[in-house]
Amino acid sequence: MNLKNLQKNFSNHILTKADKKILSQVSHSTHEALERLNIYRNNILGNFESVLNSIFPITKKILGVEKFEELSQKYYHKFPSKSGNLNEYGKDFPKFLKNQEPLYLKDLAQLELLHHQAFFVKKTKEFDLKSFKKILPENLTNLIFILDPATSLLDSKFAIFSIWKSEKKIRNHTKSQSMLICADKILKINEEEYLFLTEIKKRKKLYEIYKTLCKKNKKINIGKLINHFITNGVISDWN
Amino acid sequence: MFLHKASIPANIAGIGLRSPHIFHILKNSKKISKKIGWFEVHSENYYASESAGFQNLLEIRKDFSISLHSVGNSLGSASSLDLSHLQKLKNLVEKIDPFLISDHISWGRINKNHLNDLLPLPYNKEALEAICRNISQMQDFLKREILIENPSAYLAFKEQKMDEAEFINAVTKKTGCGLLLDVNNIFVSSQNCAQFDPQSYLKKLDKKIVKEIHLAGHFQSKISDGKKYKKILIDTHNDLVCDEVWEIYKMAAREFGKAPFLIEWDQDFPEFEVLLAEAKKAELILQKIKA
Repeated sequence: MNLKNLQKNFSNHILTKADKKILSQVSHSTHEALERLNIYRNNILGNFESVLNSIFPITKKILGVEKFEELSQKYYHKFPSKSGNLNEYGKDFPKFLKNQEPLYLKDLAQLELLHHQAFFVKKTKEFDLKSFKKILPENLTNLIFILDPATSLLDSKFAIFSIWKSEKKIRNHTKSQSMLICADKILKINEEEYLFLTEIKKRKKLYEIYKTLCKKNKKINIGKLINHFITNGVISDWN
Repeated sequence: MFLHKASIPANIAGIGLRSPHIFHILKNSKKISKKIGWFEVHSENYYASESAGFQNLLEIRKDFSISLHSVGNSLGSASSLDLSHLQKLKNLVEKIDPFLISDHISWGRINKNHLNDLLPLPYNKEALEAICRNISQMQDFLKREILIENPSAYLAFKEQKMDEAEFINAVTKKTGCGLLLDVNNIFVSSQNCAQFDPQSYLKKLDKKIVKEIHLAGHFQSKISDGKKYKKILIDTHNDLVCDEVWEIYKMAAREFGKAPFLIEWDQDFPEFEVLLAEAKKAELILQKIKA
């Protein structure tokens, strides 16, 4: 048997025990060879499950240990690892959970994934408040604010923040919630704040953002929003 | 020829750098640098050069030499190397300037899918050609010598045309790479596959190829052959180095002289002082051999 086929048969046996072609290549009795191959299988599937476990701990709590283990194995078959770097595994897990009950699982997993990914993005420098204060009022309207690259936004028609925070299923989970995700925190934000940050993310000018927000609330205090998100490090710069 | 010549740290004692110990090391780096000279990291954990973890590594780099130990290049695959993965390693090499770069005599990639594990190779001509082709490509790409680590095996293949030491000698001769000799893996494989005696294995290896030595602990489990249970050792890196492995280390140190050595611990982490004590033990063995 050539090397390519040997590796293909080895891999097939690890992933689907039913494929036993590799046994003809292993120098142990069938029973013993299966036990030995099982060591590799446990290592491999254990590693994949442990990566998912570290990224999606609350999703696991909601699903329960057995169901999570079952889904972890099914996930590898649908989304096999495409990288030699195990840290890149798991990014399609929220998509994989799309039709899984309870239906909010996909969004909960997405929240955990965004939180995990925030750790691998460098936080930018502190907002330069001194220079910002020097900008003439007539120039402010054309400013484009920049969000810290380590932050992301999530809007869900389910009460994902409450589930994530309580780490368990809740009764009233159909209430929609929006969230701001940073490496060190996840914040529940209101509809106005979500819209404001989404418009910044789209690189809209300040006056355009103001117009959009006014359509929802004519008494909008945009200065208060700007001040709030500069202070907590979400807005990191401007153009 | 390789453009970069590795400069070995004056203190050849090293420890595997793992996240539970990082803040302790950052806080006590001056004190620790009097006891060990270098750290080894798993390269793939530092591919995200924007991460806080990478910034910590740069900080540690100020006081210690660094060795990059990869697990994901799949050097033994029948398919060729994943160049995007290799490019990430090259980027890291340029930023860290490691004194050693290593990966394993194993495979984990089949076509474009990865099993992300260190899987065994049959020691035959075709596997030899495949791994030599991939090692040469990796060395040419990085413009650096790499080291390859002997694996821990849980099974043996039928179609073996040579033993592991002969296979390693052939690979290093053909590619010019060095050997990262893992003495725990020698013990684990010799017990699990009952194919060789560690001393003969060491005697058979070419003298100049050993450029680093790994020391680690393992876990004892059992498997059934259908009639009775047999002991099997799992390379878990979650315990102290056992007496038998220290004995193999003594033999290796006598055979190959002073190569940088590393204490590896990857699960069930103890206090950092336990790793320092293991490194001290290895140092004392070297001193005795020298005396």
